[in-house]
Order: sequence, then structure tokens, then C-alpha cells
Amino acid sequence: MKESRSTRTILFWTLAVGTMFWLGSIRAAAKTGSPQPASPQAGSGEKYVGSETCRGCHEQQFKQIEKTPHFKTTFEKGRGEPWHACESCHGPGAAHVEGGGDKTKIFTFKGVSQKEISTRCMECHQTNPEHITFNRSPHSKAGVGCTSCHNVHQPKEVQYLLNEPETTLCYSCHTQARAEFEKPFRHRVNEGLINCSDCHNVHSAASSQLRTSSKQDAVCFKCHSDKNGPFVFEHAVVKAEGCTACHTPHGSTHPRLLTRTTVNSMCLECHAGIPNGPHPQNTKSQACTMCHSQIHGSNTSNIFFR
Amino acid sequence: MAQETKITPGRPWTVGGDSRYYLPKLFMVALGLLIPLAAVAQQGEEGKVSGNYVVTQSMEFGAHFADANGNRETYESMVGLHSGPRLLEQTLSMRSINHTGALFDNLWMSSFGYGGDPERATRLKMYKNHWYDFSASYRHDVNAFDYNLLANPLTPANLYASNSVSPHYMDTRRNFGDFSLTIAPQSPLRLRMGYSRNVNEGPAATTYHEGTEILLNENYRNRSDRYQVGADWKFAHKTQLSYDLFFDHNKVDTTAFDANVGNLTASGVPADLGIVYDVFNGQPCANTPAPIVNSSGEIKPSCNFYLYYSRSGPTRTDFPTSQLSLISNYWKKLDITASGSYGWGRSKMSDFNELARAYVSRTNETGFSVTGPAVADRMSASADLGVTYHITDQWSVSDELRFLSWRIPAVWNSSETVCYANLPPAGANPATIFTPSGPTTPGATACLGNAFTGELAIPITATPSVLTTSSGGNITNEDFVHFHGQRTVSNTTLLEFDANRRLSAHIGFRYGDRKFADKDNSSSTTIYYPYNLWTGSALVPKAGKTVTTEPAGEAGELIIRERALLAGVQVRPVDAWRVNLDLEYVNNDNAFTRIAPTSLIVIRGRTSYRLSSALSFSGSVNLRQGSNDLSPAGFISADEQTHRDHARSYGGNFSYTPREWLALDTGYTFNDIYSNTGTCLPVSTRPSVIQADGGALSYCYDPAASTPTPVTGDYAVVSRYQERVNSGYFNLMLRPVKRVTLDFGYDLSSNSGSNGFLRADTLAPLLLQQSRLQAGGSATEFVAYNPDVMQGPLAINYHKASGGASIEVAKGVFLKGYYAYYGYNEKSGTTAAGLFDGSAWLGVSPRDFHAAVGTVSMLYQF
Repeated sequence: MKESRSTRTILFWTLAVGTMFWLGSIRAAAKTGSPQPASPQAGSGEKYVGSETCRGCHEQQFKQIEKTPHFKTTFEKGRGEPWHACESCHGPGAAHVEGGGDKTKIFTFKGVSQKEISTRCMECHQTNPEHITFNRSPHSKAGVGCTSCHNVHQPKEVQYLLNEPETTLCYSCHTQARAEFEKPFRHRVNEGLINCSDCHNVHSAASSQLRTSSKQDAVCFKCHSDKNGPFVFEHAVVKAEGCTACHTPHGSTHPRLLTRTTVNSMCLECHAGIPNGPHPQNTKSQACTMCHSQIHGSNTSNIFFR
Repeated sequence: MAQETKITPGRPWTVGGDSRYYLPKLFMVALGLLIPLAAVAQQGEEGKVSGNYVVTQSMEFGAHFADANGNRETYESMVGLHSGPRLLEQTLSMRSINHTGALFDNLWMSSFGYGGDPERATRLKMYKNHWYDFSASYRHDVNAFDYNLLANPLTPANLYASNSVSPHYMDTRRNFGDFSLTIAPQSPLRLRMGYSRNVNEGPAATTYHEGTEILLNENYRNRSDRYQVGADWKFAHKTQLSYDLFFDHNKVDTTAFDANVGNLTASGVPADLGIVYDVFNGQPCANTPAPIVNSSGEIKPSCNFYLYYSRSGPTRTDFPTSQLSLISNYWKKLDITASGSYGWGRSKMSDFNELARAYVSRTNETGFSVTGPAVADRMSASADLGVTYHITDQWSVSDELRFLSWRIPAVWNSSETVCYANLPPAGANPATIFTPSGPTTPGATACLGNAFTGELAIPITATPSVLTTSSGGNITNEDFVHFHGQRTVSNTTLLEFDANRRLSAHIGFRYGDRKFADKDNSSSTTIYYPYNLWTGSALVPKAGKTVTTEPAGEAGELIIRERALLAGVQVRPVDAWRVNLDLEYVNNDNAFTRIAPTSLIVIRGRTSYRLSSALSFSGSVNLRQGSNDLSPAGFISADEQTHRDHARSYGGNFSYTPREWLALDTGYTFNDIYSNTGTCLPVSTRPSVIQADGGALSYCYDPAASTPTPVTGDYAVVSRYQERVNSGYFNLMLRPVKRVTLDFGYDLSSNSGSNGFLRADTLAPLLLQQSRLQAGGSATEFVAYNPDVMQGPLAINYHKASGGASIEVAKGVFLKGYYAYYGYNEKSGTTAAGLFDGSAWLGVSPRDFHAAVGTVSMLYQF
């Protein structure tokens, strides 16, 4: 008992002191910055001029950046010049300045591939949990880079520096998705309730760039948690094939976002292959789910009656 | 409960409040707000300085005026806007002038929909450099679904169950809350915390089948809470280790009860006959032609009905998950990402309780009770390892290994108690069924007396119970043990080539396997208690207590091996033009379902062309073609047994913004969906099929038989589904003068197609001549295979036309008006007899609606 108490005491004080040091380091970093790994342009041997020099010629861009979260890099003096403001993205500016504004002496983000642009952005942003697998993502492979969607200087949506409001931006390429969200039965994306990024992580390498629930299950269960179970009697296809085996998640012309116009048509495609399988359909079966109402899974009925 | 007001077609109804009452008040309030806010608005779009912050705000107050004709339930399901005052939009932005605010450096907040819109939300994001990032959102959604799928041409008109609501309608309210906090976001060690809450509750409906299908009212309540704690540690150059702990807690407290007892037994007790009527098949009344109630609403003998039904099963689920992730670009040529997670959770339903007082003619039951606990666990593990090696600046090779495994072992211990009538079904009469009844325990005075309360108790006498051949015991204790599990492993290798900014491509291969296991086992103990047990008219030789134990079980296992070829190319002929093309060819050696493809080709193409900053085009093509050639069992002909499907979509968009005063945006998408599946279709012997149109049909063959053996009653047919959807939109913005902005828009979704069964031999629609009477038809006509199926929409037009005007009356003050017309129309179909398109279905109230929603508002920016 005594040992246990002393162990807890040691643990408590270790955590307390550790937390104080950690918070102290944050405060120090906020004031002066903290030592960091080598920056993107470190070691290039070129000289940095500082953002005030940039401002001398690029006053308008400076003012634009000032309204965005990126302006915080201006305060990163303690981390070294490579992390500081304009030159953290555009690279060391001395040669550019000495060349009278020679654009070839600085990284302008123009005339380069999206991969190069993304590589540059990811120097700082890759450790964001949302971005970890971006280099392997379908967007990256399709040549969709950071500036395809983000605008650092003049974003229309400032919080995430987007070129357009999120939904408009996604629709600009995914025209099919736009059509789906106009259908009578739909998830409320156009109404503003849900964003594309609620279900998709556009920076990830996951299949269809879908997020997963925290249980490592389909993202649908984040909201539709009552369908998640686990159940004693699972409708196996829900877990094995996923919700899209029966539903079209964006929108549908059919009730319940089903892939088929009637429940029976959909069920029978899988369940009518074996002789004596389903019930005779020329009798009373208005819809399979009239009896099998708990079709996603049940704890008390192996035929999903209750 | 959804409003059951029957809408008279052609007569407009107002959705929500009456504008005569609130409009004058709203106008006065708006006028009062206009004057002071107009003064404030002089601050302009840049906002005003308040302390160390530049503050920019906007508020848009207004009101909707909604009127509609047609089906109210459909309108609520698809649009749901009501009349009344609203906070249409609110934004707030605060930016620290010196970028070192006291509590935060930047803050954004936005809201919309308050006052009664079906969707409303508030989102907040704020941060203080180096210290924290915080985001929060609250969202509310009216989850209304009442698209009528209940109508049945066989339903007698004088029964209680309403045809105007869906048997599975929902009228719930969903509230989401999401909070996320990152402490020390730029530090080598950062801490993340999160909390999400999701509550969905309200009235809903479901159905239950035993004897007949009764419509149940549900008190739907589901709540989930998710907590997250995580940390990121950058411990080396471009290398970070992350750990997250999630904890999910889910509560399901939904209850269901029967409140549709509108008919009467012969003794005058209110009873529910259910909602599915097919008297030829004993539902709800055996061999009793309609009408099944007399002029007084009394149920005729031998009917299935419910006097009472209730069900509850509170369920709690706790699910902790740990996740560890690593990202490293430590080496210049090598990128590594890895993550793994493990979760173990338990769902517990400790107190399931189902009670019914009913008459089931098949078993002669007069009541039943089911209780017992259930427990289901889930263990899941996942891993994702990705490695990319940059051979040169242009060439790289990557490998991605994914693993996902989950197992669900579960147990349900059920205990069922059943009461039986003391007369055989043939002679049973609703007036006497509940008077005497067999005991469930020796010496008991009431069946289910301990479970039922008061008037619900079923009194008994010493008169013996009568059981049918379908009857079970009086008490059955059964233990179900079930196991589901799946393990998926896949590996993808890609060779990538980035020639320059004009061209990049990749080619690769994916292989993997998936193993699915499904095992169950059950054992039961059945107890019979009557002193003299009757089955029909024969005395059962066993008198007194009898116990039987029946262990049973089955196991299934499936392994699917996947091989896939992947390729993609991205071309940029000129800076303004981009083309993407992706190909995926997949081959599986097995399939989980008959429609899951064993062979799949997916082609995706996208292009965009930006001619100038004002003019751009984009287009996309998505082609998916699948087939499953595995035998579904029971077919001789290879052509019959296959499954083929495709989903194709073609879309385009055109955007033109030549001047600040003109913007045009329009697009069109066409979807083509097709499915053709060989199907073995069982046909009932009652009503008996006299003949099929086009001659005798082939039967399926028994796959288990060593020689081809036809299975009588199982027709070999083809299930075919075709749908074409046209979707388009058009938006035009005009600004004829600086202070006036006009908007016009039009959205359309329109579909057509057919759905049904075809003869396998001629591919003609399957029509059967059945010995049954259809409402409005004759006993000898050829009808579709399943005429009772309530058809969904396969021939519809859904469109929205809108127009709006915004006038800036003072700097930052706008008066706005917006009008939207919504129309939903189920078209007249042109489908061949025997196939369905969902149009003009007999017995269905028209599901169409037309609605106009006008909105007037004032927007202040300050």
C-alpha cells in the first residue's frame, strides 16, 4: 500500500514538473521561438533578407498575408530565418533583391509542377495528422497539389486558405458529386449542414479518401452510430462490404438513399440465388424490411425482426 | 409522430406559422433594427477596431413564407422549410492587430438557420499563436423522412391503419457537437483533445411481424459520445510520433409500442390487425375474403391481431481505441508513414423486454414475452505502412501495406414465455380467445401474469391449451452464440513517373486477400406445462412437463483473393488545360455476394480547361463495369447465372465570369445504371399460379444434387434494373447597377427506368396469371410477379427554380428577397407490363408536391 502511494506521488510530481517545463517551453517559443530541425532552405548557402525587405516592394501581398494564419510565421524569428514569413515559402530572397526583383532567383510557385509545390508546403505541414499520407493520396497522384485548392495570399475562405468555399471547391472537379447532392434524397451538403470534409479527408491515402470512425469502422457510423453495433446478429454485408453495398451516400432518387428503387429489388439481387432461399414474392411481401425491420443488425433476432 | 393531415390535392397549405400574424410584427422589428444597424454599418467591410482587434461582423435576419400543394410528407422529407422569422446568417471575425491577442489572435464564427430551419449550425474556430488551436461546432438537423411506402391495393378502405405515412417514417432531431483543441500546435510536443456528441431522438415508426405486421410507434433515442486525447512528438528531423486514445460511448434507448389498436374484437376490445393485407395468405385473416371487419369495425373470426405490444432493450456500448502513428522524411529519398490501431469494445443489452398480447392463428398463441441479456464484443486492429523511395527526381517507387482485422463474438440468452388459446384456430373466435387460456406454470392463475400488469394479464382456466403443428413450447430458453470476423490484407506497389509539370504517370499492382468467417451455435430448452396438451384435435401423449434440448450450429468461411492492375496519367498540354485518366482493373477469385464483382473495370477521366480567368470548362467521365460469373446455384445455362452491372456517369460544367456584374455557371450530368442478375425466384402455391405469360417457365436446379434436379416452385428468371438520371443546374448572377445584385438558378434531377423480373428464356417481362383478386382487376388477368410491392420512384422530376435580388440601401446594409419553387413529380411511366417504374401506383396517395418558399431579409455588414 505504501509503495503504491509513493509510486503515485512520484508519478504525480514527474507529470507536474514535466508539464511545467513543457508549458514553459511553449511560452519561450511564443516569445523567442525554439530550436527546430533544419528548415527547407537551410544549407542552401543563400542569404535571407527578412519580410520587411519583401514588404518594400510587395506591400499588397504583405497586407493580404497579414489577414491569414500564415502571418504567424513572421514571429518565428527565434527559429531562424528559413522559418520566417515570406522566405519560409519563397526561399531566401537576397539574390532576388540584388537582381532587381529577378523572379528566377526565388521560388514563385509558378511554372512548376504541383508535386514541387506540395513538397514545399509539406515541409511544414506534413506532420499535421490530416496530411500525413498526402504524398500517397489519390489527389497527389492526380496532380492535385496544395495550390490547386488553397490560395495563400487571397483566399476566399480564410480559415483554411481555400480558393473557394469548401463545397464549391470540391464541386469544381467532382461534377458528379454535385449532381448527386441535388437529388431529392440526399445528405444535406448544399444546405450547409455537412461538409465534404466531414466524411472525406482530401489529404489522405485512404480508399476514396474516406475517413474512418474512431473504431476503425466506416465513417458513416460517426453519425449513424445506432447502426454500428456490434450486434449479436450482424447483417454480414454491412460490416464486410460496407454501407455502399445498399446505399448511395451522396444522394439518390430513391428513398433511404438506396441503390434500387424498391427494397425488394435490392435484397433479391443477393438473396434470390439459392433455391428455396427467400420467401415467395408473389404474395404479401410489400418490402423485405416490413418484417426484417432491423436489417442493419439485431441483438435479439437472427432474422432481424426486432 | 409525423403530421397525418391529409392534404387535399390542389388546395394550398401553409407550412408553419400564418404569415398574417407574424409578418407585421416582423416588419416592425426589422425596421427598428434597420435604423441603428445602418449607422453601425458605416464602419464598412473592413470592420471596426475594438481594442486590439479588427472586428468584422454580419447579420442577416429575415423570414420564410412557405406555401405548398400536394403531399406534405414528401415535402417534409425533401425540403422541410417552414414559414417564420429566421436568423439566416451570422458571421463574426476578430483579428488581433498586433497578432498577439490576449485570449486569441484570430477568431471566426458563423451561424445559420436559427428560428426553425431544418438545418442550423454554428461553427467556431480560434487560435493563439504557439498556444492553442480550437474549433467547435454545433449542428442541428431535422431528420424527417416520411416518403409513403405503405399503400397497398389490397388494403380495405375501412381499416384503421393510415395509408398516408411511411411504416418506417422518422421525425427525429439530430444534435451534433464537435470540439477540438490542440495545445502548443507548433511545439515539438503538442497535445490534442477532442469531444463529439451526437444525439438523435424523436418519434419514428417501425414494423413487427408475428402473425401479422403491426405498425409500431417508436420513441427513438440514440446518443453517442466520443472522447479523444492525443499527442504528437517531433523527436527527430522531419520525424514525428503520434499517439491517440479514443473512447466511444453509445446509448440506445429506443422503445417501441403498438398504438394502432383502432379495430374491435367481437367482445369490443380494441385491436390492431396490422398494415399488410393479403387475405388469400392469411394475413391478417386466414381464408377470409375482404372485408375482414364488419360494419361495426369488429374483426371477423380467425384473424391475427394485437391488443398490446411493447419492446425495450437499452443498450450501452463502450469502445476504447488506441492508435500509434509515425511519419518520417528523415532521409531525403525515403518517405515513411506508418500507423496502427487496436480497439476492444463491448455492447451490452442487459434487460431486453418484449411483451405482446395478441392472437397468432398459425400457432394459436394468445400472448408472448421475450426477455434476456445480450453481449457483443468487437476487437479490431488495423495497420497501414507506406514507403516511398525517390529513385531520382522523376522516378519513385512506393509500397503500401494495409491490414484490417475485426472479430465480433456475441451471445444472446433469450427466454420466451408463450400463452395459447383453448380452442383450435379453426373454431377460435376473437370473443373467446382471451377468456380461458392454458397455464404456463402449474397452478398459475394467469398466463404471463408476472410480466403483464393489470388489465393486460391473461386469465386462465383449467381448460387445456390447443397447440398447432407450428406451435412452440410454453417456455423456451435459448442461447445463441455468434461469431463474425474479417481479416483483410492488401499490398499496393506503384511506380511513379513525374516527367515535368506537363506529364506524370503511375502504374502498379495490388494484391491481397480477405477472409471472412461467420459461425453460430445455439442450444435451446423447451418446456411444455399443460396438464392435457392438445395439438389440433389430437391429444399429445406426453402430459405434464417435457424438456427438450436442441443444439444446432453452422459455420461458414470465405476467402477472396484480389489482384488489381492500377494505372493513371496526368497530362497538362498547356498550362490552362489539364487531363487526368485513371484505370483500375480488378479480378477476384471469389465474391461475398452474388452482385459483388469478380471482375471489375473502373475508368475515371477528368479534364478542366481554363481559357482565361473568366472562362472555364470542366468535364468528367466515370465508368464502372462489373461482373460476377460465379454460379449462383441452380442454373443450367451459363447466360442465366451471370451477374452484369454498370454505372456510368458523364458530366460537364461551364463557368463564365467576364465582368464583375455577370457570372454564369451551368452544368449537366448523366448517369446510366444497369444491373442484370440471374435469379432463382420462389413462387407461392397460394395464390396458385395458373400459368405464365409466354408459356411454362423453367425451374431452377438443385445445386446439391448429383444430377440436375429441378426444384419445383423456383423459377429461373432474370432480375433487371435500369435507370437513367439527368441532372443539371444553371446559375446566373447579374449586377445591373453597383448596388443591385440579381440571382437566378435552376436545378433539375430527372430519372426514368424500369425494374422487375424477366423470363430467363425469352427475356420478356415475367407475367403470371394468379388465382387472386386484385383491386380493380380480375382473377384471370396476367399480373406482375409481385403486385403488392410498393414502388419507389423510378420516373420522377425533382426541380428547384429560384430567383433573388439584393439591394445595398446603405453601405453594408442590404435588403434581400429570394424566391424558390420546388417541384416533385412522379411521371407517367412507359414501362412494359410486368415491370415497374413507380408511377401511378394503385392505392397510393399522390406523392407529388409543389412548393413556393419566399424569403425576405436584411443583411448588415459591420
